[in-house]
Amino acid sequence: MSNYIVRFVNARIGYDEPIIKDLTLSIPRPSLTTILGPNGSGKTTLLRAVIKYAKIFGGYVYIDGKNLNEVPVSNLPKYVSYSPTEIYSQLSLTVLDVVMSARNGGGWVSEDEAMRALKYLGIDELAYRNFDELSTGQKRLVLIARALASKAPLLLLDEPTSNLDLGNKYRVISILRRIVKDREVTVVTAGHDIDLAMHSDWVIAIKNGELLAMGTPSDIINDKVLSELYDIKIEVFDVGGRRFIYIHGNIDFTNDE
Amino acid sequence: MGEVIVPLGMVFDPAQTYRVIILDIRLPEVIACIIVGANLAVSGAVMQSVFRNPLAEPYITGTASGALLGALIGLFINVVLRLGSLSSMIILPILSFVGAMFSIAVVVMFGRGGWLSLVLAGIAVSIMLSSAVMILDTYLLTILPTLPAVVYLLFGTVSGVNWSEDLVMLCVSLPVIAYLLSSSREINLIMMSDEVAQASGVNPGQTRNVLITLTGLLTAVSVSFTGIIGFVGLVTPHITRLLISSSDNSKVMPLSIISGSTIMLYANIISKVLVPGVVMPITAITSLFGVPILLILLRGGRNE
Repeated sequence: MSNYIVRFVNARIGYDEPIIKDLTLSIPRPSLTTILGPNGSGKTTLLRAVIKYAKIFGGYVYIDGKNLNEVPVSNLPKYVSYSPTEIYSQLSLTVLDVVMSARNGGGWVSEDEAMRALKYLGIDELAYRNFDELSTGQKRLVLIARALASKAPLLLLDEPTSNLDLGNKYRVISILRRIVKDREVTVVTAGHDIDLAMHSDWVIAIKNGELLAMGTPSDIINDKVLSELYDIKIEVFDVGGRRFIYIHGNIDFTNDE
Repeated sequence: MGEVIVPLGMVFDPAQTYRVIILDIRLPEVIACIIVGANLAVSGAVMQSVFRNPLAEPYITGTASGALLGALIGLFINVVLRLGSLSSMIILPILSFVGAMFSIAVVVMFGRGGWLSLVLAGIAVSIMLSSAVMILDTYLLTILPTLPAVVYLLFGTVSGVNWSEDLVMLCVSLPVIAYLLSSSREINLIMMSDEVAQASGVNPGQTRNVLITLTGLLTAVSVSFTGIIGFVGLVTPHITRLLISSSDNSKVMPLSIISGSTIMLYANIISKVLVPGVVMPITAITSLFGVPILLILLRGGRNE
């Protein structure tokens, strides 16, 4: 078993044409990994590459040591689960329906497995509620439960903390940490949440389809990388063992009343 | 074909008239109602799911118009080549299927910008194909003023459907519907999100194409023999979802089949009793009742 669950080697990835130009990176297992990058940098494309939803124009993508080109779509559930930020909203599906739509390797997640995943996240009382009527935070937890029920070793979550209030955001972060610790799975998230990145084991910063930096949070969450990543002045302070981020931006606050 | 009241006790009367009316005229119509209602309803449920579009159905996506033009071309070829009624039962559905696939391909190609653009592309293509239908139909009626099939197809009616046509419809519809019912979990995945489907082992592009082709087949075989029957495909899945408060296709599809057939059977009865002695085209009845139901559904959905 390789130490890395996902490896990209000189990968060129995109749709009609490559968005990601030449990317080499690896994601350790088990880990909570966060991909940071400005809008349009190729974060979502990177996640989609792993589920073969984006086209690989050149180079290689390995999943669990296996060349992705040799994994047929029908076998993907054995390797990976994907949770979008949202699913089509005009549905009336119960929470249980949503979780049971996940694959369990070759078969489908059973009601029993679905309930266990919901219970693990402490949301089993939502099982028979209509998914559409839940709050954004509850919906995110259900989609995480769906990923968890799939028993895949790699869970891809697109922006799992976006649009959440601070409390819900930290609940999601601590749940993701707990999943990685308990289940020894790798959770890969993409988004703009630097707090989530700080609580990750591994952070990947990509910009304009190219790797800017990759490493532990302390390697990435610093003045140099963040300022370059977002093209604004960002300062990171370590005070009393805690890390604070100050975003200067280009706004001049001195004239403000 | 006017209205004849058959006394209940006379169905199995040895006197031929009533038996012919029941067994060779009315019964094939009833069977056609059941098959066409099932076909349209299940097509609507599948299209609404795979396009993630509450208005998608064979009529609004232009599939039915394409199927009708194809069927009329088939009729035209059949007439010009002086082929018999047996060949018409093969040629019509095949060309109707080609027409359905052509129109849905055009609509999907131009309607990529979201659910409204799919509907607009469908309406545009429908209008264009309806013009072609009018031209072809006027010509057909000029050269063959007594060809009843032309009139039937244009009006959307089960009147005049015979046993062999029922058999053709059944042979196509049964396996297709069975396959669609067995794919309900895959359809649910595509209804949620393409990426979710893909990661769950269901290639959304390929699967969507297969499913749309199958709804085209169901639409074509229905339109070939009964013309365009509006709103059953649109309204039935919505009513079903509302009744069971679920969009889960493993429940919606089988129940839509039952409701679609039931709606068609009632529409068939109403089409005969609305004006005594006159049989109305069934599509007039389904649209007359379907549209208000749709409007009520739209309002109800907003109030929730």
